[in-house]
Amino acid sequence: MHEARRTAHTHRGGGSVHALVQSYVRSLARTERWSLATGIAVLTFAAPLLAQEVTPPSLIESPEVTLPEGAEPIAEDASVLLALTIDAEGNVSDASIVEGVREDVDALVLEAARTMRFAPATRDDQPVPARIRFRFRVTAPPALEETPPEETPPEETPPEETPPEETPPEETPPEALDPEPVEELGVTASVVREEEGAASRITLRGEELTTVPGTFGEPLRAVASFPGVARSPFGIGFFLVRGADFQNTGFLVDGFPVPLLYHLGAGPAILHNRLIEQMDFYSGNYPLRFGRFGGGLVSLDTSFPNVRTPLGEISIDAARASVFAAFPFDEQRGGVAVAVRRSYFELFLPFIVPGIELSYTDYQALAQYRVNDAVSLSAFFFGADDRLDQSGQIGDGGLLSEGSRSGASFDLQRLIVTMRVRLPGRAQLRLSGMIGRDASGFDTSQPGFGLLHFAFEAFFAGWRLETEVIQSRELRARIGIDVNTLSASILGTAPVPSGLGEMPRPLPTIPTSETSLNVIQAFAAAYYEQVVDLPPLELSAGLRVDFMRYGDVFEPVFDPRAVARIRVHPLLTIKAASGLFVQQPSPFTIFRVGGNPRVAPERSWQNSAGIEMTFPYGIEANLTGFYNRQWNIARGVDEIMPTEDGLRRNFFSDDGEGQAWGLEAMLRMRYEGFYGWLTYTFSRSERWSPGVSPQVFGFDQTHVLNLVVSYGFDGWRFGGRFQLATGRPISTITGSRYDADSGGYAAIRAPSLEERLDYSHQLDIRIDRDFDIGPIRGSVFLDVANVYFSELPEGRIYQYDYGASTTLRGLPIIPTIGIRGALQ
Amino acid sequence: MKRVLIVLFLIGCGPSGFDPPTIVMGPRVLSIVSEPVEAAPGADFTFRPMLAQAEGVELTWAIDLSTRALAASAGQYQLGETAAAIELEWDGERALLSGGATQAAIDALFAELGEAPPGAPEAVVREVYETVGLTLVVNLVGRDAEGAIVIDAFKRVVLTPRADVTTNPPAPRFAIGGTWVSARGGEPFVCAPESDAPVVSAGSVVILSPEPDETWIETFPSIDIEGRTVQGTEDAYYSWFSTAGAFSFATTRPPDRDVEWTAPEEPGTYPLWLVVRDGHLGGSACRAEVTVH
Repeated sequence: MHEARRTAHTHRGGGSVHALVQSYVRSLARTERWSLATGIAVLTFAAPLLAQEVTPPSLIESPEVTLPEGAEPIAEDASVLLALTIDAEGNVSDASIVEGVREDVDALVLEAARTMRFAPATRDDQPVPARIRFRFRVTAPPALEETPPEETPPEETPPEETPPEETPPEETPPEALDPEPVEELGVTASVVREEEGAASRITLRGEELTTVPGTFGEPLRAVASFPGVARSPFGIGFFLVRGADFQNTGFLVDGFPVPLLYHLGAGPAILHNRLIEQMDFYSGNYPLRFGRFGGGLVSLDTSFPNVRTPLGEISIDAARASVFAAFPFDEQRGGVAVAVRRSYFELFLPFIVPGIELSYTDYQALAQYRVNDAVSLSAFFFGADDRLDQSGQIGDGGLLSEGSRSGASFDLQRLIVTMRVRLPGRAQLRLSGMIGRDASGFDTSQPGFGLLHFAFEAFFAGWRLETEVIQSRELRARIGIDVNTLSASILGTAPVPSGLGEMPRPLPTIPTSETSLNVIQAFAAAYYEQVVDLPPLELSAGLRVDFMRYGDVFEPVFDPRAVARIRVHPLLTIKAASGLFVQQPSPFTIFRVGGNPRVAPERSWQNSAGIEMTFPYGIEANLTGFYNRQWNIARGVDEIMPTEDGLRRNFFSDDGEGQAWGLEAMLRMRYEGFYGWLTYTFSRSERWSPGVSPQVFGFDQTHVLNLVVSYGFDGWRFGGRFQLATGRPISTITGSRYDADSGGYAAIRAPSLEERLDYSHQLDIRIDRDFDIGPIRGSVFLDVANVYFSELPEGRIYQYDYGASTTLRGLPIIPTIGIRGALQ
Repeated sequence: MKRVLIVLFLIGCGPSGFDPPTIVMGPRVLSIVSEPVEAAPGADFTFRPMLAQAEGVELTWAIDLSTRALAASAGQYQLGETAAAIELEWDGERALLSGGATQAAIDALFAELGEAPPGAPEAVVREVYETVGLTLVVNLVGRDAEGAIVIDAFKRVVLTPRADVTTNPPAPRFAIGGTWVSARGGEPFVCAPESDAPVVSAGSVVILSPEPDETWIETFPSIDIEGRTVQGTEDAYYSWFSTAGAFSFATTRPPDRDVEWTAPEEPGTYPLWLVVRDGHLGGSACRAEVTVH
């Protein structure tokens, strides 16, 4: 899928046109292979030779131009010839089309041209205005599913008669441009605009996403420092986005949901970053083609990496080793890539925390082939296997006492097959299918508890059909179907709630039940989205209808959504979005026994409005306000419901409600070897239920500030990430009461969560050093999380009678050193 | 899944630097024994507290017998109006909840609920009352000479017309390093030596062994998660306290009833408290003296 985006991208060149063009092309080559179109500018000067004392204007910076999503593809060698007037300051004072390609392409290029900056022409070392001709060439990206990459020779534009206002600039003969391999630049966090149907999206790109400090090279962990994202406790890989709960933000791989993207929920990602083509993060108002999550979305697209010859890569760090190999074939029409990663915590963790064993493995295989210019196919298989075992006492005892043993495991596998087709009539189609399996198990043996065993296995199947129809220059439509089914079985001896009539006991006795449940759920959605593009207004509106079948629920849910953008200035866009979203309840809440099969789908109404700005030097700014309303939130209860068959106990009710509002801002800069962003989120999130007045949400964080900076030069890269976040709310405990029946103490809590944990602040640093030893290219890195051992308060621990308490600290200093080497 | 992960993180972080729950360092109530544990309306309930270091503490007892409180114990939180606490009579040793009060409360409850069709919330209250009983909560507050609350505790009893009500375990009997002490036949809450007084060495590890006879364990009805009436079973729980030394466990249960007590290094006479609970409101308790030399 191509994206509509306009990312300010700046480059500074040297004094000569050759150097400028080389610099520009080199940096554009590094920018991404994923863009549908990447602008490559070739300067030509259509003028007689200059006298020695006259120098032509030289390009300093130019925005990258990419066609809007849904636009008709352009020819590979399409270019726009511009006539530019450059004043003595180096600004473009006038621009016009000399030779155009197509109206929409011309308009974009013209708009971009007006923001170019040049070193002005000079005569006798004095700046003077000049007119030049500038050919802006647009090429397709070197991606497999698109036109294969080509080594782009400079455009041989014949000199044209364009008399300069001053002494005409010297004709500079075109020079050969050496194609360069794609380099890793570090991270790009682009506030991507103009994705029709999405209010805002932050895009991360796989090969650029390995150097954010504190992420240990995992691109997905960079989400934690994005606007709208609250700090996750203990750094777990689930996100609290715009005041929504963890489960409201979904993870998608090639359009299909996965329960988690991180090993053990908090570790590294389950996918090798070489296979991640792009990661999109939506903090809200995500596009119609997605659904079934009430908050934000993290969407990963995978593809064969941009390599032209076979590549092998080995990475080793303090926690794991990984092997990656890619084999392009048939002149890069196709490719196969495989990756395997394995942790080795078991080698050293027992020395740090005796009694704990931890391991994870993940594996991926991706095959991709471009059948012809219209059809491409891909198949992606991936899986993960996590194990956590405990034996003996940990800490001061408690639940994990001497003689205890527990184990937890989680496996997942997915196979996703995708076919992309360009249809006649400028339509595009993407058909994909998925089958998968999740299996999780938990067993524990505690003194006095007996053995608990729990096994959950679910099989998934789904398919998606997405079509995009260009109806006219102003009208585009997207139509799609999105189906997912789940068949799950639960076996084992599982804990169940105590019976009514049971009383609290001095030692926990977990009632168990031999469980054998089968659950079938089906979700089918159809959507239609209409885009009206009448510059400066772009309006996307549509309807998604989700048919949800689970428990005793079978109902259609209607989700209308709209996004409007007005480009009031080439540098400024105003946006607004509103829409309804639905999410099915967790499978565990709808069990017929121990749950409530009538729990309704959770709903949310998301609204946002804001502005997006671009500035010179690769600076972008985004300011967005939001208001989200939630209802039908499942909450735990213990009710006895009368039925015709007698009494029934309900443990979940769907009458919870919530709301969240706030403001999020992002200022990002990417300039030469530097990248960084500053984000700030202000928010307030509340929950309530019938008879209970609104209370602040348990993970609410009023202020969250992130600063990420990284600078690379001469093979080195130094970076830092700082986060400051308000502590989450906690109950104020004013005393306790002794329960004479259990022997424990019950806290006396204030009626509302007015107290908060202290602010948390954390600094992470990272140093990368590239090396080149013969045919092996690679890098060594040191990544240190929580450098100054900040307390990172995660909660409070209380004495048995609540008479004293202390702060529950978060993660300590975590240093990681690693090396990666690639042979190609 | 996400919540479970957070809980796992929390479990892995044990507390440190806190006072152990087994060492009494100020005024505490260690046990409240009610007699009976379950009874039909009209029967008197008495409550006897076993206190530690509570000299000079003034106790007051109260209970909420409102329709709202009774209906809530049957999972019906929408019934009844306001809470209405009444104070219990306290003679310095026992608090009394009269049978007249409980009968009046039940009469008021069903008069207020009226005749409800089967399946109505009011009928649920009646069914729970007849099946497992309605739970009453008795509150105990102790104030020091300045009026500050130094003890705050509660104890449950059950009102039910069932005939097979559960009872308290017998008064405790246990061995201190092989020397038996017993509260049977003597003053309430006092475990007297059956022969020689227990004497242990300073700093020694002493095995405390409750009498391994738990024939008093009973069964009781409960409503399980599917709404069925099933029989639950009590267990035996032994909780240990002193003013010094250290216990290997705060509470034990069969088959590992014994606990190790590391005697204090300082010679003297120390109290050892044992609280026996059956896990279904029944309890007994006593205090023994042990000499450390």
